[in-house]
Amino acid sequence: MTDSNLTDSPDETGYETSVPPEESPAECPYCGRPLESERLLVLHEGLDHWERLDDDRREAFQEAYVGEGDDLRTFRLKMLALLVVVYFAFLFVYSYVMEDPFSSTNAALLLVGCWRGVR
Amino acid sequence: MRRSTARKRLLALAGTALVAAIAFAGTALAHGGSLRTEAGSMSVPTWLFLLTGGGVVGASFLLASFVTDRALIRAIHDWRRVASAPLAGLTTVTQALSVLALVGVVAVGFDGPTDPLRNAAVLVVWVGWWAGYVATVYLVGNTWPALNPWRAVTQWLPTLDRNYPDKLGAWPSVVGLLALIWLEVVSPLADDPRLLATVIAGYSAVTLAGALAFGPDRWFGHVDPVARVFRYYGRVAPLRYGDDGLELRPPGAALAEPKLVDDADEVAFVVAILWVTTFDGLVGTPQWAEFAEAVVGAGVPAVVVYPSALVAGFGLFLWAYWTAARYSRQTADTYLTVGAIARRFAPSLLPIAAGYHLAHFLGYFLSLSPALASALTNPWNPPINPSVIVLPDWFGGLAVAFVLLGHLLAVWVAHASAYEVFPGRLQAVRSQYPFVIVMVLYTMTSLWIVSAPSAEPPFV
Ligand SMILES: [Zn+2]
Repeated sequence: MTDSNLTDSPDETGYETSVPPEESPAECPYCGRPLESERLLVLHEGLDHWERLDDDRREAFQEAYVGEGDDLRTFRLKMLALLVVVYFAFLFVYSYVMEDPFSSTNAALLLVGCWRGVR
Repeated sequence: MRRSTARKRLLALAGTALVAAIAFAGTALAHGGSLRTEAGSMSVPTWLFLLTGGGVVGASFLLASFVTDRALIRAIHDWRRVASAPLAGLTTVTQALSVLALVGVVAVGFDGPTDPLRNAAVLVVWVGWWAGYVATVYLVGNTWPALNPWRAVTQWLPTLDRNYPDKLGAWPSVVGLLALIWLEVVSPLADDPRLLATVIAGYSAVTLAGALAFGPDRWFGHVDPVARVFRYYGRVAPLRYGDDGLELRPPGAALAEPKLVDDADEVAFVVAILWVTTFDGLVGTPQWAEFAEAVVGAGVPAVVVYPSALVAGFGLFLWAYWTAARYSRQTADTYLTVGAIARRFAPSLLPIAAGYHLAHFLGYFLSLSPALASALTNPWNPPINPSVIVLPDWFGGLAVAFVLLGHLLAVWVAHASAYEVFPGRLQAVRSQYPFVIVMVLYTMTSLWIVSAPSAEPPFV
């Protein structure tokens, strides 16, 4: 473990980090923070050192930032699915516990409707 | 242009979240309200009520993760209005008044009526100060530096400026906070005005001696638990008085700033704030009474039960938080150290503590405020039967809502902090998984305490 303590760096973004010895991090040329990948380095530079970047690096940042969009879209869909599952799980449990046949029927109908809509 | 569509989208999202949370929590709230009055005829079983609370917090994390526009998050957190306010001259007046109030509280405590509901010292300290004033600190702003009577006195006197041992850090304040809460729980501080006055006099002696020896900045910055609790609670609030004047920001926005919590001792203090608020409620539940009686029945001396539970619970909370930080390092796949992560996300615990404090004390404050008012009009001879407001049933539901609101703000603050820390947006969301699990578990615990019928703590 090589510990590089960055808390004393003049830059506001200094974070204490530790890099496993077998890994070769992409190090930020401006504040020295080791980043986990080249892509994250590009993002970090654009977010924290925008004023000091040349046009190439700025363009690279914008590409990388927009590129995150695809992953985020997939991620959001998964989260939405999870949200729907949680919501209906609660609806079912409530209708079961409250012994209210109407709300559980409604929940079932809604769920079927949603599923058809997705298809 | 883009900003305004983004804002509309956020508003729509917030609206949906609110509607979902209300729909989710509606039945649960009704349940929480009825629990205190008619525990026998509950419609929703407790486990489902707790699960719903946990579900709301989990769902709010899912919803927060939909906000992925960095510009929008920064816009929300950087929003501020500054007004010049020449308040500096006022502090001398407020400090002088609060020194007078301190002297008055001690005098009435020693010499006033012995009935706690008629004694102005008891009512000012517990109802006015610990319930009401503390709430203004996290709801409005930290006015304590302008009021702190002990700080005022030490500023007027020459100090010795001894060297404070730096390696102690803020640990003395962690110990002090736990000690104060232990004293509050095991002794009849809220029932015995004489004892309360003695404790305040003792606390004043220690505080004045310490502040005069090490200088007020060191003492109130590192050792005095009261000043430090207020400093952290004040960061939740929207108003702050600084060099530019009076600054208004969204509630909790100041918590996402870096370096608010800068070492392990500060992390421990923030966790201690959360734990002592919880412990205060925990000892008032029938389950605690059963547990304490069983432990004492098994041969453990009664005096050991409270301090060891206090320390063990604190250890458990610290362990849970640091474990979450350790897992967060893995889920975010980051080179940041566990310590860096723990420090960065500790401030997001503060809205939870504030929400829990409000849930615990607002009802207490409202129901006893007429007694406080009548005792203040005539401290030496207040009316014989002070009036007390009986709160309606739905008030228990309000308490549940405060607990949930605190958690929702915490989820948002953690989300915004993660976006500041991590360059990758998915990385930022992933860093929150372990914290959310801990938060959901904690929500369920605190909802259980808030909705449990109240019982007298045994052996105190
Ligand atoms: Zn950098």
